[in-house]
Amino acid sequence: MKQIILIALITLGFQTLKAQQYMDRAAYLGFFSETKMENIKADNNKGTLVYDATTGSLQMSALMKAFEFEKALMQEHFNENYVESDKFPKAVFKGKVENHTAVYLSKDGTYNTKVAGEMTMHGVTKKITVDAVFKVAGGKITCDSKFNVKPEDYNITIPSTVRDNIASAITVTVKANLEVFKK
Amino acid sequence: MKKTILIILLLVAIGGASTAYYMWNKPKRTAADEKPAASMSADDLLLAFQNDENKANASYLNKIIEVSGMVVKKEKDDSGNEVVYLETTDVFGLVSCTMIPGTTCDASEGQETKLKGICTGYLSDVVLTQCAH
Repeated sequence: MKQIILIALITLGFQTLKAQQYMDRAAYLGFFSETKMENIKADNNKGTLVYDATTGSLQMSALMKAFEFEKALMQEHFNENYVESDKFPKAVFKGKVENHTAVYLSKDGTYNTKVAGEMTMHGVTKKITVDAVFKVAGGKITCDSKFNVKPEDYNITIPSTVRDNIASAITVTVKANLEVFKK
Repeated sequence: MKKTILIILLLVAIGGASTAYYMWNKPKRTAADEKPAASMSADDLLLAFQNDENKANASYLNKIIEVSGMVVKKEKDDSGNEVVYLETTDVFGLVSCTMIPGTTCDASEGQETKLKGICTGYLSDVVLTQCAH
């Protein structure tokens, strides 16, 4: 009897623990650089976002080589000269949703939050805080964010000849559809 | 003599301009027209990354890898490209293959298939892009 109760408790505990974890293994990340010379856009649909509703911890990772540019040449320059993706294949953000206890993923609504954490890219780790919006509608949960990144903050040097073609602050857009953690 | 120099200069200019034009419009690299550098099961590829990510990156990153496995799930990403997930024995990780824009995988969910793509690295899944049969 004791054993059955124990097993039941463990199973229950495991389920509630699992139910608090949300993820998207195909999150969208885009960046946009706007200058007078040209606009450069890249899309990456291969990001991973994991959110733990109990602790508020949020982690997002993306592979640099999965950014798709309009022109093959831009993609080559981005990978080889700027982010050196052979040496530094990923960008990782590890943070915490500051007011996570006010975000109810089981209840329809729009929740504006701030996520503070550390972003590692090109071998450099920086503390950043970004705005993020969780939206819950009919069981569908999305998490969107938009923030700026300065290449120079991550030791990404852009040659002076093309410096005017690339914005000093690049707009990063994140769009994730969160689902309960499962394979 | 002057004429020859002029013609040579003109040819050089045309050559330069067409090279620049070609470079600018260079087609994107896809797996369709390259032979795979390695061929293995989805399971072996995921294991290689889980066991030693740096080593696997050194061997497979940016190379065309051919993987075989069962299709667990097919979906469209935000750009409208088909993504095919191949099953592994791991509790969580899969091999995620994004097809070349406009193309689809001919196997349906539950069927075995073989796909080749550019290996872009490992997050929770091993990611292959620009995939073809």
